[in-house]
Amino acid sequence: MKKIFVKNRDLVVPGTLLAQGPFKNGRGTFKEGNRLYSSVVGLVRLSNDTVSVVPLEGPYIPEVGDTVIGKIVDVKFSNWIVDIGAPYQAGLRVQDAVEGRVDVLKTDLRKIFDIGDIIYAKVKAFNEINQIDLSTRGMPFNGGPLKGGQLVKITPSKVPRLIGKGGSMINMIKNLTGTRIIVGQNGWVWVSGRKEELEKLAIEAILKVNRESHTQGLTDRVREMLVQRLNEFKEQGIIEEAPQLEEGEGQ
Amino acid sequence: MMGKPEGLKLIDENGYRLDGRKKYELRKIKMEVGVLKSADGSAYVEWGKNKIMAAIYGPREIHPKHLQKPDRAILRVRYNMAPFSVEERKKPGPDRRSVEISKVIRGALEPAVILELFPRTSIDIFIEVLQADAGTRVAGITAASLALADAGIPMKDLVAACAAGKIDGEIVLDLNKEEDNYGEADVPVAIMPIKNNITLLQMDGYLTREEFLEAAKLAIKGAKAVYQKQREALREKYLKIVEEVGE
Amino acid sequence: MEIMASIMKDHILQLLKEDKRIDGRGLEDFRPLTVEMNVIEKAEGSALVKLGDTQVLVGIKVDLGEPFPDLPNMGVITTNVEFVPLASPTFEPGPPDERAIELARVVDRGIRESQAIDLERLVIVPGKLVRVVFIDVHVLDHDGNLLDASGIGAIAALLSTRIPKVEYNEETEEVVMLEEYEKLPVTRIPIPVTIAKIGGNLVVDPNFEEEQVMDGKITITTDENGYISAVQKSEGGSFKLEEIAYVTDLAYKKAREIREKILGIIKKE
Repeated sequence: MKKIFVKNRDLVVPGTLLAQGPFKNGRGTFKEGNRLYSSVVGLVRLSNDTVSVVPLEGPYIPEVGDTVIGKIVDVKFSNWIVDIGAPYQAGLRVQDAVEGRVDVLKTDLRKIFDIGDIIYAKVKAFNEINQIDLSTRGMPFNGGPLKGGQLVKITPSKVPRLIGKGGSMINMIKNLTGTRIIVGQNGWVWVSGRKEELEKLAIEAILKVNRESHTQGLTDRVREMLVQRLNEFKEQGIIEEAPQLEEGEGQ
Repeated sequence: MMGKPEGLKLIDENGYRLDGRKKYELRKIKMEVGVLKSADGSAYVEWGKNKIMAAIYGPREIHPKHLQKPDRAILRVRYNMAPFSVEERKKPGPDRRSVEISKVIRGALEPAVILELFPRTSIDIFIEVLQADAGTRVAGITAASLALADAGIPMKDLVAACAAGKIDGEIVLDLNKEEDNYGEADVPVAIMPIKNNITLLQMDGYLTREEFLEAAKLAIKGAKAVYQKQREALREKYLKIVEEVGE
Repeated sequence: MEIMASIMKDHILQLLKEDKRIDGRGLEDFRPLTVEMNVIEKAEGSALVKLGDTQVLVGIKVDLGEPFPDLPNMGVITTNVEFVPLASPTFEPGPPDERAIELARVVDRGIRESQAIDLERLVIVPGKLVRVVFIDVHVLDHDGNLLDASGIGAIAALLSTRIPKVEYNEETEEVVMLEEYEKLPVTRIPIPVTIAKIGGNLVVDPNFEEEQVMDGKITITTDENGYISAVQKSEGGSFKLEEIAYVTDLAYKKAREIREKILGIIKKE
């Protein structure tokens, strides 16, 4: 007998009974017999025959193809060790960063990426001991190192909310604050603006999305907050014109 | 168990205990989730006069590497009492009691965590007793459970814990410090309530078979009440924000 | 930790489906148990326990010392367990690890809470001088269930303990050890019984392989008074309440059998 005990977007905790019967258990759930339970704190998502829970917290679980922001933490003979906030170490081999053949004896890897550099990479593969292989080839900005700006970290499961449908949320923030923003799937976000106040405002908006991602009407509230603060900036003479929302944005 | 002062009654003729509670009454419990910024997950529990902070770091890589398990994560638990947490200052650092408690707490939480999702990593659980008044291990398990959920670590169920004991010949719920010191037995229990799986069970004292089973059953009832509070506390962290933004 | 061959785990589980164990025992059977007392003459008491291939040597040393300030009219007992490196490839030299500490504390509670030793009879000068009883468990060969072996060894060693009579002269405040010996006042015989849970099956006295594959275990210490003096669920896994009731009854039964064996050995000496 098929039965669902929750509604879409319900806030559940580990052990909450979600459904009974021949449902498929998606992310954030587990099955005991024919009963489906939540394994995390999150929002229920019902889709056809699949019941899943989108976690409101949790570690970054990398998937091949993900684009991530990372930090170089060590330089070895022919590879770099990169921190991407995952439970496993990530590595970037020199041949995955540079076109053509590289003579490691003659190349100082630190001249390409040095310790502390922020890079923009793609998850290429997992190896057999759960280490992550990255690649910066073909990435925007040559994969880095990214210069200037600031790094802010949000919960990885909230990245889709920060990006928004078709990029609506993130583009609204970018355009209103006039900043460049790169959102990594790992929840690491690089923000770079012409003025410090605008950079800070963008970060504030990003953190607001992170904090309120489980609520309704978030896009409107973020837009309101941004427009209000920009008007304040204009009055204080920090900026000359408050950037305008283009049509169709913030929807 | 210490020697009881002459004439001290832990329960009076009307069934009231020294702190005014009745036999099956829990002490007042407050729980808050997500209280520390640096940790991946955290929770703070006040249970009677106990003040317990729990934090999770992980899943993260283990050093030294030989501690890794190739197919699952490992749990590491450190239960520690702050020097100022007890009447007579306690020397900092793990003593034998803390080592044993850390081990049984690990045994209590392990069955609930879906360890196979994070091979070769460690999930580190820290339980700090900031103020102690008996029942620190069950309060610690309760807080650690919340912290694990707060860290987004997938679990099959929350682990809820509570203790029962025997004082003045009667089986009662949730002993405080005097009752634990002068009573006849202490029975801490932890369960995963969905399937009634008991993951912690100890008895310190001297009981008949019937008394032991009665105390275990009572502690389980107490744990189930604690479980409801845990679920509330986890939701509260987010419902609080919903209210703030006036949804 | 050694990685257990998965075929071993499957083998054990398969046998359990037919109520069998790898060494041919029944689910409720202890391995062959021998207890030899007074094996270390220089110790005040001692016992060598062989439980299957597990071997544990317990020595009792009795000293004179100060009582605890909050218990001025009671002697002192203290229990320590050494996982001696020669006993197992899984034991490393060093101070007791969490397993040794947990084991010592559970054995200690079983003895202390049953008041197996009458601590009041260990007082020589109230508040000043009492007997201090050191229970030292030395694990010699680890083939599983060190706890029961240690607990049995501890109580057997205590039963074998003889201490020199002591005279206290109130006037001169002199303490004199006499040539005459007396038995340590042991009034109860608590026996721990450990049951492991393996894939839903409950087995008594797990051996080393069974411990590697078990989900968890529980120890229940009972005395001849019909009381329980310690309970410890240990390692992972979980138990249902009905299983707890079952293992409690089982523990009483097996403890009685072991106690009779020990009493039989004492009679012979």
